[in-house]
Amino acid sequence: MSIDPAVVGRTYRSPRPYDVGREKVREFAESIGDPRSDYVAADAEAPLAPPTFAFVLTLDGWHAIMDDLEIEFSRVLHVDQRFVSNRPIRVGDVISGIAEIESVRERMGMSWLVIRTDIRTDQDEHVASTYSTILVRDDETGDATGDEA
Amino acid sequence: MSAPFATTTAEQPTGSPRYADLEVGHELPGLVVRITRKDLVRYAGASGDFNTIHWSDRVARDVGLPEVIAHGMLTMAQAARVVTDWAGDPAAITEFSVRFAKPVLVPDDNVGAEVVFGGRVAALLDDNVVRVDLTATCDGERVLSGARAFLRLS
Repeated sequence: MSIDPAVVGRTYRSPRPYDVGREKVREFAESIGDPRSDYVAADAEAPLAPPTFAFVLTLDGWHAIMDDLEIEFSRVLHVDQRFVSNRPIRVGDVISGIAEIESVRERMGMSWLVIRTDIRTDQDEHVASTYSTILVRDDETGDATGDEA
Repeated sequence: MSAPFATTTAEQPTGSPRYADLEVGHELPGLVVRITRKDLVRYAGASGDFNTIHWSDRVARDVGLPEVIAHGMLTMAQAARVVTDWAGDPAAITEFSVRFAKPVLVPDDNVGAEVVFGGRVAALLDDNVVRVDLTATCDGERVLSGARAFLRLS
């Protein structure tokens, strides 16, 4: 499928503010095999979330974009990812992601999208931005190793 | 709850690295991580990434993959550990980027896939910022490329 370049610039806001919870951060840290005390200490007032936790918010934007553009998730491959942090996300933060489609291009019969997500608190503090390139494959596309020729 | 199996390949230095003591080329302690299907299920639940290609061989094959692949973001999170274990303070990371060069195939057995991570100091920048370049290989092939983190140290 090809994606209309007119979608560049569309923005998508988190459906609701995300309340960063202590047990969610612990669960995430354990799932990546890194339950270090900065993330899980029971006595810490506001444990840090791991550096890639912001992706949880990024995903909300991806889902909104996939719904809007009628993209099936199983046809999406993650090509690259960048995080730029003003500060770490912490337990107790109430944050939202604002995703924007930054670019769309067709290459090798596939659509490549660059999505930027700004993560801001309910006090409008800019916490971090994430940048993702995803590739959407055609129904007919065979090999999907993610290699860029 | 057991964490995914991981071992460091070098002794952890005591204390956090100081900017003034570092040289370009300094090698960070590496990390070896084993990823099984169970780890993918756990990460899917924790992250909210339920893309079917991370748990169904049928769907993975339908879209042209040989079998289930690990979430790129799980590999990226594990790569971050090389940096945070070394720096001591996860808050030191100001920027972190990777390219997913090749998928990590995770067979449906008890062995899973093994990913080997490494890192080295690539540049000493202004304001006590250090650039660390990271590597990740599975079966001898690079699964991440252009992986780098910027950290502000004391």
